[in-house]
Amino acid sequence: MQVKHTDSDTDGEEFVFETQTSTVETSRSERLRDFYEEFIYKPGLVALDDSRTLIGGVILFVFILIALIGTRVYPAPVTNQVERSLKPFETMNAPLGSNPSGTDLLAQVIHATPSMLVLVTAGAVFSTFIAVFTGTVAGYKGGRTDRVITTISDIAMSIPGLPLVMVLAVTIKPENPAVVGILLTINYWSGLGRSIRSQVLTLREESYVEASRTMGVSTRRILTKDVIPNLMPYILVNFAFAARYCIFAGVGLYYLGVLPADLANWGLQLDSAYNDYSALVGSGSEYLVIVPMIPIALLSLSLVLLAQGLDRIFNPRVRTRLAGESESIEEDDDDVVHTGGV
Amino acid sequence: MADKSNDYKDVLSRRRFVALTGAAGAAALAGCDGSEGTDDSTPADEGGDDDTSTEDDDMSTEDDSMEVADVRHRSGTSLSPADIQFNPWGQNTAQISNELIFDPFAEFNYATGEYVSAIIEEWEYTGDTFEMVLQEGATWHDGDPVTAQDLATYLRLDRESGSSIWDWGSDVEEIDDRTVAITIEGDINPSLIEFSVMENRLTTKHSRYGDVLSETQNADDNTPLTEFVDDEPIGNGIFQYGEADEQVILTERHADHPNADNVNFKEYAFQYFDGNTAIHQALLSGNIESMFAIYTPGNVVTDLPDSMNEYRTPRNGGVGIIPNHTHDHLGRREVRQAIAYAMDRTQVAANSDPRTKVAPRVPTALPNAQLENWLGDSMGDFETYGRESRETEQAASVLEEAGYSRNGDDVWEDEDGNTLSFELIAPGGWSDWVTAMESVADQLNAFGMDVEFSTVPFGDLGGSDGRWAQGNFDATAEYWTAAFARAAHPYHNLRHQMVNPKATLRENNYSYPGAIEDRGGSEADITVPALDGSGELTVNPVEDVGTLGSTSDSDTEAELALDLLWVSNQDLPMIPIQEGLNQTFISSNRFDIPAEDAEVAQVQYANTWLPRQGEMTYNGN
Repeated sequence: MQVKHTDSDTDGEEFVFETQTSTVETSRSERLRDFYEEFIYKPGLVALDDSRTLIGGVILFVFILIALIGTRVYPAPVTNQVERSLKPFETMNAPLGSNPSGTDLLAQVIHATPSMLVLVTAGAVFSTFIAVFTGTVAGYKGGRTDRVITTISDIAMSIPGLPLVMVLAVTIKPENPAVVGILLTINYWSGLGRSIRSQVLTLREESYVEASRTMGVSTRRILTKDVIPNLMPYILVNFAFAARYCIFAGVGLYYLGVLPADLANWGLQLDSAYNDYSALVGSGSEYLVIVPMIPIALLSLSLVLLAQGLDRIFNPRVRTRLAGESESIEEDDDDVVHTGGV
Repeated sequence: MADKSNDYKDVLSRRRFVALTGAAGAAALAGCDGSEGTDDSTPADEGGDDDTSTEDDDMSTEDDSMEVADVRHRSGTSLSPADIQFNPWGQNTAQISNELIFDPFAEFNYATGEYVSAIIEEWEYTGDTFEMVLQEGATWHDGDPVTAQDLATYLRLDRESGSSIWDWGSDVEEIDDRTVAITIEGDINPSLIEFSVMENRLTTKHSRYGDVLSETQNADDNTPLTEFVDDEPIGNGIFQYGEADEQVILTERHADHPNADNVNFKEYAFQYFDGNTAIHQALLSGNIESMFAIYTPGNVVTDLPDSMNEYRTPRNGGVGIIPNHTHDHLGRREVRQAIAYAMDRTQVAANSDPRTKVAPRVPTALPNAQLENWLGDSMGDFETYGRESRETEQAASVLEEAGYSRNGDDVWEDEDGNTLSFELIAPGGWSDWVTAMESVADQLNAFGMDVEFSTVPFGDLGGSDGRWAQGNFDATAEYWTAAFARAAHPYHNLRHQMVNPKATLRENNYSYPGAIEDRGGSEADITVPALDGSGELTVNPVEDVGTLGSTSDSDTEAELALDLLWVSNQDLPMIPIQEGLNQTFISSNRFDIPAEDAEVAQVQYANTWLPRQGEMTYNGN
């Protein structure tokens, strides 16, 4: 243990640096600037540099705009608002066409966006939060805590997700999209929690963590200051994947009729196209299925791209290089690919 | 038994069998339930479906007198063969295959409005009795002749189940080997007898059901009857039950049937499909050659091969709204009228399916085809509530008269400031009902009501502990007539709307004040403005509908019917929305079948009735 201490000069310096900042007076504006540099400017640079992040971000941004503004501007879907069974691009009254009840498909897509975004976010936040909490605590504390948490997550992992969600959906009859999102990821967190735990098991042996521990820093502080930041790339990438899982699971379960059909939802649009309008059997109405698939595919694509991009954003080397602070630009670009390991 | 089934396997072409199951697998993968219950629902006390089985089922012996092709007709069913049984009073009674296996008493033809004889050859109302004579030469599939005892057993069992025949019948008597008479006690409107009796199907061989009958008669309730499971039926129909696996029910021509000469092909199979879309795919691909009562939207019909004939037959009813009369708003006549005014029924029907749905011309308790017969010159005085338009001004004025006003959000609220809001539900997956109710909800919301529409799985609605039976709803989609043949007479429809929907169709505690107490009502008088505009008209639905069902005087019948229909039109115990047509498909590729508009095919259902009548024969292709 001693050896590790002496080995890790840099870590020791960082630790010293941290204690220094706590004693040195920094003005509010300085802190804001630091925050801006660390959390907006540098990530922004990386994001702009990477077309995947850029595209993913733009798509997601558009969805958010649609949810916030589109729903206010574009009329809500009702029957007979336009002619029945219009094909896409046939008239600008209903650019994506209409169903056999005369409901504008674009209106359905737009007005389903807010609840879909809430659902996706709630599910991703919930599962990631639980996973991080259980993973870090179990991994770091070890012992009985670890065993208890691991047992719980084992149980969660072994319950079949779909039947569980079905049973809960019938019992709870969730109407709030946030609740639906949480329901969908009710046991999704366990797998992620497990992998975080194993990462923490490695991290806890790192010398800087040991140093903190030796100095009597509280567990909570060690977890939040030393452990979790190192896992952030992994966590955020999985956050994006959890969000993507929520879209598919949500749409799938709405389509299957497992979830209450009260919310405007792309899955319900698919269900209605297939069951009510026989869109996949009768010719000429395939567009009823294709239209709701577009936002599902786009939102999912944006999350995948963002997940890949976030990987780069959290890579310190890339950040430093792009911010022009690195002295070793000529070093390998390959590192970019390897870091994160997710 | 083992030997029999082995014999049978030789008859089966293994390749074709596999092909069939393969298709089913593919169809099941295509997924999705959404079964459209409306098409299949048969009014409860039409009951007669089926049954009887035998331990030594004898596969048909070939009739040498005619050439029978070794050909199998492939049809479809949406009930899993693994789950069905053939006791018509039990659970999971077979669907459609029972119509081949058991002959109906008689078959109602919707074009002529008359019953065509089947296993009951002749029937006669004598004033004191209703006499029925069995078809000569009718035999059970085990070789025994069909006797008066079998028929009497059916009627006696039907009595135990609480059938409407016994509202007026008092006893069953076997006159001779082929004749049975129902003794009539009390009054009965003669025009209703046929609808009560002839809609049944002779399913009970005495040797199979005799014990069930005596057990049921000795029991406190009819559970021995409802719990009896008949999974190897002894039938008497033109085809006999062969075998069933998870996917297919196979039947084989019954060579000893009196009409056997009408059938020149050997087998008739019913393939199981899960959901309408799977059935549509099977029709499109030619995997099945016929399908009964399958709701098929226009875009699919267009794609069907030219050889596929579509027979559309009236359903004498369709989806309407049953309001819960204990609801603060829906319990008020003005609100129900406003709902009827505020919707455009024609638009709703067109949204639902323009090919098979029409709007009722006058919302009352009669299908369109019967309106003129019963309303006559008074039809013009009946309120149409705007058949092809949304009469929002009139809707607003009736609400205003009732003390409602629009609030700041343009939503109606009553004198106490309660928003006129209610939840409208429909069975999930019944697609034409769901699309209709969506449109209704949108139109009512646009008018300023606060209607929340949602679908509920049928399993949560039906049954004795379902939401319908418990009265656990604000407003629900449900039939507004008694449906099918008997809905041609106002009696059953009025009884359905005003007195007791359970007696005609399904249990529903909608608490209409005029209804019987078991349905949440109080058998109250209902008063509406008189038809001629002067004064008021008061009826007591329980008494007056009862009289309509028992009078034998045609003038009284007409007069009473008109009064009650007027009350239905004014008070709207149920709100009619549309009338539907059933679609039955048969392919002419391998079978000679009647034209789509042929009178003979105007039955429920053509694909099982036509073979018996010699109207669906194998053409050698």
